[in-house]
Amino acid sequence: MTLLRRPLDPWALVLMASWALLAALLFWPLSAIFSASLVDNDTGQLSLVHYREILETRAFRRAVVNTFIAGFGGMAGSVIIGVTLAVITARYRIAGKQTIQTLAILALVSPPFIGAYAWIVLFGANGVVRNGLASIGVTMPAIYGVWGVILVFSMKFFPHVYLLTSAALNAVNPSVEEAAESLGMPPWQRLLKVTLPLILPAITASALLTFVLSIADFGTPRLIGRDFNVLATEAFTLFGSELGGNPGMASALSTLLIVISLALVALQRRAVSRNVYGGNLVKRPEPRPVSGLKSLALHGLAYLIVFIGTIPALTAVIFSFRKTHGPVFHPGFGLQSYEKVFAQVSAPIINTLMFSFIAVVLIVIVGTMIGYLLARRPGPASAALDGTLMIPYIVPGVVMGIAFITRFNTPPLVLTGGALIIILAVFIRRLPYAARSVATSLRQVGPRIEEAAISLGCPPLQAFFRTIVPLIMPGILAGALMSLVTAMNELSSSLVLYVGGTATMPVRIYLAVLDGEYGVASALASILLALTAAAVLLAFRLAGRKDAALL
Amino acid sequence: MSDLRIVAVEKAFAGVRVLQGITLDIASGEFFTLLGPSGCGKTTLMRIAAGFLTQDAGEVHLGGERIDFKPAHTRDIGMVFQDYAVFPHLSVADNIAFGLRTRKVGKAEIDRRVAEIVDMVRLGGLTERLPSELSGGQQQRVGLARAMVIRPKLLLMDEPLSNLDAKLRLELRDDIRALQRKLGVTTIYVTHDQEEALAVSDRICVMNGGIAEQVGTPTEIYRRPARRFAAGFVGSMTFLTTGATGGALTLGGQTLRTSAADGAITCGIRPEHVRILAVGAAIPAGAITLDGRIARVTFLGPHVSCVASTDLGPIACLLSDADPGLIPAEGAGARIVLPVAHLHCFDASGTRCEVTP
Repeated sequence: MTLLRRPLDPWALVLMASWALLAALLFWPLSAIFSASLVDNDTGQLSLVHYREILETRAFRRAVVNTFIAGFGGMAGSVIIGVTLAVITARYRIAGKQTIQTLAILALVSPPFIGAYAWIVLFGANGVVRNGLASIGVTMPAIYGVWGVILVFSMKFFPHVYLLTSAALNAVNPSVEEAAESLGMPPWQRLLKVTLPLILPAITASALLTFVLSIADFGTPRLIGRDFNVLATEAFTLFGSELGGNPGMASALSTLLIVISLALVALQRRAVSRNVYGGNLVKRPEPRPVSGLKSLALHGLAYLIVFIGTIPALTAVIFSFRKTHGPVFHPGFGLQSYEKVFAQVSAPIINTLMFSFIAVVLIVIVGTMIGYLLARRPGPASAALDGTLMIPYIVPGVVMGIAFITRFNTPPLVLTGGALIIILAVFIRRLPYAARSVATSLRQVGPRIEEAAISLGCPPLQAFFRTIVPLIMPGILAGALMSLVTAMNELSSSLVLYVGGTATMPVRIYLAVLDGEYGVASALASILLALTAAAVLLAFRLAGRKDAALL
Repeated sequence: MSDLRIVAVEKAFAGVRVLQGITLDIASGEFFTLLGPSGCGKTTLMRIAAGFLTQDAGEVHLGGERIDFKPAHTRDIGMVFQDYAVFPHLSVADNIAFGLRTRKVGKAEIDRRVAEIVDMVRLGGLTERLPSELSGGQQQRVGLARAMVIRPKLLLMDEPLSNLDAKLRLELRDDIRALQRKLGVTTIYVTHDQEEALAVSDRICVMNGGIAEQVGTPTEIYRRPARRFAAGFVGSMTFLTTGATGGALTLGGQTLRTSAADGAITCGIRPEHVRILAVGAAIPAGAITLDGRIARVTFLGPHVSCVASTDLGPIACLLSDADPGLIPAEGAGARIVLPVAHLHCFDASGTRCEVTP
C-alpha cells in the first residue's frame, strides 16, 4: 500500500546514483590516502608514525609553515590587487573597462604554470629583464623563493577577487550609500560601515578561493620556489619515485593539506552565512567621473595591474616565436619551436583535447542532473550532497592524483596507466563547478514551469528535458566551455597519473620547463592559450555577459 | 453529483500542521474557490490535488476514481499558475499545443483545438509570438488556454490574477468565469482576494490555519457568515465585544435574546448596514441605538465612508449615494443605529449564534 501511494520520483534515483558516484570516485580513493597515512610503511601496522614525523622533521614542519605563508601571501596579494582594481573600475569612469576586464580574464584562464615559467624567463637567474637591467647597472634579486611564489600567486589569482568584488560592488544600491550620507555619515565612514559590509561576503568568498588555489598549486612553488617547499610539493616528491617513495608520508601530508583546506572553507562559510544580504536594486550604481591627475593615476594603476597580470601569457606567445637552436634561444624570430612541437610532441595536444572533451561531456551530463537536485529537491540528502561537492573542489590536484593512483592501482578496479584515470580525476575535480552553476541558473527559472509541463501530462524527467534544459542551455554550454578550459589546463592531478603515452599539454609543458626546453614550452603554452581563449570567447558569446560565464 | 472529493486530508511541514483534516465535495462543473490568508493551507491543498505534494493522511477522488497515489502527469488536471509559468522558449501556439503533443494528438486535431481555444481566450494574431513579447495579462491567457485545451478533468488555478494590475485583473476575471461556464470544467480557484472570490465562485471554502471555516455560496458567506473568521475575512465588519448570560446579552445598554451559552460574545455589523441619524432622532425599533460622534469622514465618490466613535468603540459606516446635504461633518454628534437583523454574533469558539430583539 505504501508503495502504491507514493510514486517513486525518478530524481530519487538520480540522487542515489550521485551518492554512489561520489562514493566511488571521491570517498573510496580518498580513503586510500587516509588509511595509507595511518599505516607504518615498514611494519604495516596501524600507527600515527607519519603524523609524528611531520611534527618531528624540520623539512615537514617548514613545509606546513610555508604552505600557510604561500596561502595567506597569495590571498593577501590577490585581495589587495583585486579589490583595488574592482573599486577603481566599479566606482570611477575608466576608459576601456571592457579591455581591462578581458585582460583580467585572460590572466585568469592562462595556464597557471605558464605564469611561473614566464616570470623565470623574465626575472630568473638568467632572466631577460634582469640581465637587461644588470647591463645598465641595476641589480635585482632573482625571482626565486618565497616572494616569487607570492608574487606569482597574487598576479595569477587576483582576477577571481576582482570579478567577484566588482559584481558585488555593482549590486550595491547607491540609494543605500546616499541614505547613509544623508543621515550624516562622512564618506570614509560610510565606506567602512555600509559599503564594505555589503561586499564583504564576495571578498571573503574570493579570498578563500585564492587561498585554496594557492596552497593547492604545485607547479609554481616547484618551478619558482627553489628551496621553498610546501605540502603539495613535498607530497608529490615523496610519492613521485615508485621505489624510493614514501606513500605513507605522502598520504599524511596530503591528508593534512585536505584538512587545512576544509577547515578554512568551514570557517569562511560560517563567517559569511550570517552576512549575506538581499537587496532590491532599483538604481544601478553610477561610476563617478574623474579628471586630471587623479584620473591619470587611476588609469595608470588599473592598466598596470592587468598588464602585469597578462605578462606571462604575452611572454609565452612572444618566446614561442623566437628563433631557437636546440634548446637555446637565438636573436630573431622563427617557427622552429612550433615545428618541433608538431614533429615531436603532437600526441599531448591530441590527448589534451580528447581527455578534456570526454571529461566535459561527463561533467555536463552529471553536473546538470546534480545541479537540478541541488536547486529543486531541497532536503537533507541534497544539502549533504551540496556540502560534499565542496570536497573535490578544494582537494588539491596532487592529492587527488595520489588518491586515484593508490586506490586504482590494485584490484578490484585497475585504471592506472590508462587515459580513463586522468579523465575521471578531471571529471570529479571539476564536477562541483558545473553542478553549482547549473543550480544557480535553475534557481532563476521558476519551478512552476516544470510543474506546468507535468500537469500537461509530461512525465517528470521528460518535463525536465523539454522545458528546463532548453531554458538553461546557454548557461550549460557556457559552463561546459569553462569546464573545458579548466580541464585542458589541469596539471597537478595529470602529472601524478600520466604515463608516457597519456601525457597532456600541461604535463608536457611542465616537463619541458624542467628540462630547460623553453622554446617547446612556449609553443605548447601558446597553443594551449589559443585553445583556452577560443573556448572562453565562445562561452562569453553564449552567456551573453562576461562575468556570468565565470561566476 | 460530486466530482472531486477530498476526504480528511492532512499535511504537515516540519511539524507544522498546514492542513488539519480537510473534507470537501465539489460538484461536476462547479467553480469552487479556496479563499484565505497566506499560510492558511489553500495552496497546499491545491498542490495535493495536482499531485505535486503527497498528503500525510486522507484521500483524493476525482470522477469516482481515487487519484492521490497517481503521479501528477497522469492525473489529467489542468493548472494555471500565479507566475503564468508559460514556457519562455516556445511560441504561444507551441505553448498551448504542449499538452496535446504530450498526449500524441494528431496534428490536424491539434491545429483545430489550438485555433479554437486561441479565439476563446482572445489571443488571435499573437500565436507566433514568444512569451517575452506579451503583456502579463496575455501571458496568463496563454497559461489559461494551455490548461484548458487538454480538456482536463479538473482545472486548478493558483492565484492566477494576483500578478496583474487592477484593470487587467477585472477583465481577465470575467473572461475566466465565462470560459469556465462555457466549457463546464470543474474548477478549483485559489485566492486571498475576497472580492475576486465573491465575483467568480459558485461556492467558496473560507480557510484559516489549515481548517475549512465555512463552505458556501458567495451570498451565504457574505450574508450569513457561519464563523467569526469568515465574517471578518469576507467583506469588512466592525466587531463589538460583549457577553451572554442566561440567554441574554447587552449591547449599548439594550438587551437582546440569544441562543448562545454563557460566555464572551462578539457581535459584528457590516458598514453598509449601519445607519446614522441626527442627534435626538426617534429611536427605531429592532435596532441597537448608540449616541456618538463622527470621528472621520472619507469621500469615495459613490460612497462616503465614516467612522463613528461610540462608547463601544469606533464603528465603521458606509453611506451609499449620499445626499450632499446629509454627509455628516467630522466632529458632529450623531445617533448610530445598528439593526439587529444585520448583527452577526459569534460565541467564544467563533461559531455563529442567533440574536433577536
